[in-house]
Amino acid sequence: MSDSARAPWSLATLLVALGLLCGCDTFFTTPYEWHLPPGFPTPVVPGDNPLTVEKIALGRRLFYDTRLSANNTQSCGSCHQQALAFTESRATSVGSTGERHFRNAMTLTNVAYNATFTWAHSGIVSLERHILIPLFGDAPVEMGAGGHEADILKRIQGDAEYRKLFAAAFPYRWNRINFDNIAKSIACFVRIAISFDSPFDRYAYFGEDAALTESQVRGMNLFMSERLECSHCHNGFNFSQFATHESSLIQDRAFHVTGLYPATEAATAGVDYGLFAATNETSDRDKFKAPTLRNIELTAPYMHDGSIATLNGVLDFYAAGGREIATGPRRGDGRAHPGKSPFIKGFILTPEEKADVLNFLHALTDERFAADARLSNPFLIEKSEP
Amino acid sequence: MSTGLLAACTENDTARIDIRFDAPQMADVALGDLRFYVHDIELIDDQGRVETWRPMPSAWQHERVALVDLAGNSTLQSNRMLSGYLPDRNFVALRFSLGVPFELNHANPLTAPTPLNRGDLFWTWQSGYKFLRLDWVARNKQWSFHLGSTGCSSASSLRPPSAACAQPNVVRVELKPFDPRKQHVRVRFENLIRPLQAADRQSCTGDYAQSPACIAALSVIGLNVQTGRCDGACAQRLFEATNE
Repeated sequence: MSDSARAPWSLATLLVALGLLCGCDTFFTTPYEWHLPPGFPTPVVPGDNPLTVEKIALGRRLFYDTRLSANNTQSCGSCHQQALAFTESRATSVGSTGERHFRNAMTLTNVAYNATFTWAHSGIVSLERHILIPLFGDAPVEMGAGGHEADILKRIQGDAEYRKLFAAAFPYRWNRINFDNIAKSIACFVRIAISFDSPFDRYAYFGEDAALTESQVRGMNLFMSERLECSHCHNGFNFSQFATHESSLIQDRAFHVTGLYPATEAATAGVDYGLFAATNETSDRDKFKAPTLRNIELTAPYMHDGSIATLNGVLDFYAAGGREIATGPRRGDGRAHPGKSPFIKGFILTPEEKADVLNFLHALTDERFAADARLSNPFLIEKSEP
Repeated sequence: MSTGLLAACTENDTARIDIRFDAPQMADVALGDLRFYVHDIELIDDQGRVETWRPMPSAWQHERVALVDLAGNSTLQSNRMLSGYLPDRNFVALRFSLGVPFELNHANPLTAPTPLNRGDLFWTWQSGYKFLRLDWVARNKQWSFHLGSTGCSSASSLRPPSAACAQPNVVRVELKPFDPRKQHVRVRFENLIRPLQAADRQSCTGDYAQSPACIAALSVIGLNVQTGRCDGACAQRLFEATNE
């Protein structure tokens, strides 16, 4: 056989070898460009899961696909609904088998900037890792994929559209339809859920004085004040201490007791003590992270267990420096919790001031984000096609 | 002639000088955060010449400003040493300002260079940065002392002031004698913690004039709470030179 006859085969081998060697999925794929507004930092993306247009398209379909749950009833999007800034209106979520979760579905707004994931875990630091919890978690069961992996992969494999999307997203991999690539693609999709187009952003970062009403400016001044102390924990461009990005130095381990529940001497089984469950440190009991306040108007109910129905109620809660619970297993005075953050010391607002603060919080709503077609459910479009 | 040549040669030599910081632990105090900005670092040599310290590029230093982080237990990293370049001489004194200079203190933190891009060290455009952030747990309570400018006037909390704040609360510190090759800077944060704990006040994070404990804490840094400047000699008791 002549050298020239062998060349095409060699070329193919070389290309596959190159792809394997470089270990990246950007070979033959299209890198995603962030197009962030000027000045906003670029989120950190793990080296083994670069953002590509193809993975995002695949991840979008997977995010909204109920076939990812064992019994075909639930997708990521069931509890993370776009119109509600990727939350739901339930206090706490209900899994695919009907099991009640003990926590409220968190917003995915700007989740790419999160340094840690879930309401209270210091060790879950990547989206790829986090996504395995709703997929495979069994306490409680969410999507219930554990033990049904082969079934689920068969469903995906049997769908011609998926075969196309996987081939485009992971072009030179064998056995490319697997849970590692599923988690990576979903992570790519939710990373692009970026929200920086609220009236607040236009006022703060783009100098549009008219973007906020006078009431909203007064409310913003109160929010930022030492009197209310809100901005101690809800600070920075993402209104969260947990923002990390390419040029940030380091990440603080900032979880807080808000006074939502009283301190207990001994931990009781079945009670959510927040960070304590991850670290087993007594001082971490009842600590939760301060989530972003972006789109907070859309994400009711509030707190880690959805136990406060409205933003008005949340303001009352912080004004009182916590709350006292009269009955039930967690009765007692949360205000007196010894681990409570020193910034939750209570405040008094006039009715006008309270309305101002609420109006300011509404100025964090990004209408474009909640309706962004790139983040929408692709199955609705597929169905509506003739 | 040869002595002169040698002297000239020495004049032009640049040395790397590290300025190290430490903070001795306190019994019964769990330090949560101890970070502070310094700027305009100068060293004075044995002939009285003042040399401006030129920082090595790093995530902790930008031109005039550097961030020191002594609470390694609350963060993944700490920064106990500032590294920079100076003429190779014998230095006998150290000067620096605690805080962020006004020109850099009220800009958009999003576009600020590191280490000025820390959201948890920034209040607002109006107030600027927390120059010093000290958080601790003691007596089963959480405490905080945050220092920054007060009395800053602007259209709203998110607009920068056009003129200096009424109380800048920036302190010029001089440590003398100080030899960076043999000594380091000890941060006596217990001098801040004691007056606050004695008054049983949980926090001091602004409105410094409102509480005797805050007034006492500011005097430890050498600041007059009314003027936001130091009285006379800037007699501060937070930083000291140590051989240990």
